[in-house]
Amino acid sequence: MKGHDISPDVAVVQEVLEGNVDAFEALVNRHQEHVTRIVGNHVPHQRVDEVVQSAFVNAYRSLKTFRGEKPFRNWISKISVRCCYDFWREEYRYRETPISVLSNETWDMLDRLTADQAQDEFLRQAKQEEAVKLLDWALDQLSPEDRMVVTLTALEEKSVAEAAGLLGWTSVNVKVRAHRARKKLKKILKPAI
Amino acid sequence: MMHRKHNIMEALGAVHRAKRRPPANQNLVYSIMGEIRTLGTETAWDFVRIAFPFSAAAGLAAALLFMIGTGTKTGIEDLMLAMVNGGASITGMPGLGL
Repeated sequence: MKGHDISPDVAVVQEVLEGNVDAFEALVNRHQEHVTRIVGNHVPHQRVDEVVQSAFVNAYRSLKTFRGEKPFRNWISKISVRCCYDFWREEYRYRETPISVLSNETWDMLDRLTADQAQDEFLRQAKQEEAVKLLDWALDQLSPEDRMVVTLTALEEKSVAEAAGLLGWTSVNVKVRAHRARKKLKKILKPAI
Repeated sequence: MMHRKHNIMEALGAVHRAKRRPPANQNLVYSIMGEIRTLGTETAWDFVRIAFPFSAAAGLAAALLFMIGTGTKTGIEDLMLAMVNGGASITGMPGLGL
């Protein structure tokens, strides 16, 4: 850790590593909103809290590996994204409930979204419950890897390098997977168009 | 007003961004800190688990030496002499018979 570059987070990390466990609370308070936002982008609402908790616990466990060269926020972002990935891997492993069948109204949603329309109307349609249902259903058809990579690159429009850093994969791997995942997603939604 | 067609990925991206996100749960801080403090206790127990066999063995060795030292007239020297001479020691071990 760079001794001369003491940001507030680095100082807190040092304090925790010296044995003051309670100092970690400052990091949780400072970054909880950011972590909740990341996790909320990937996992269902009702499971966000548990994934946020596991992200902070994992961060605490591996605090010794934080070198302070990059902001703590970036470091915990990576941990959060990997926790979301682990969440989906676990979910898919023990998945028992059959994948829900969509109503005709939900299927029609994509048609309405992609139709020739004004931006305001497009955004209003995107907020509809049916649209969210359709997106969740489509993502559910993908593997955890494809789901994560397509969410980061295609839906959140992060760069390949950024997604690779967050997932801990190589850029080539992200590029190839993202391309395949997008193709799969389009194929899944083909009946709706 | 400008009208245009959107492709599937654009549409899905808009839906993703429009999704409502849950707010940060302030009670979660207590839950996180609770788990982290438990981890600290677990680490302490891990240390005890690893250290216990070593300290137990050292304690037994010290007790044995103490027993030997106080059970004979001149202590450990007598014991070693008895072993070298081939006599039985107080531990009941046969001597080296030298």
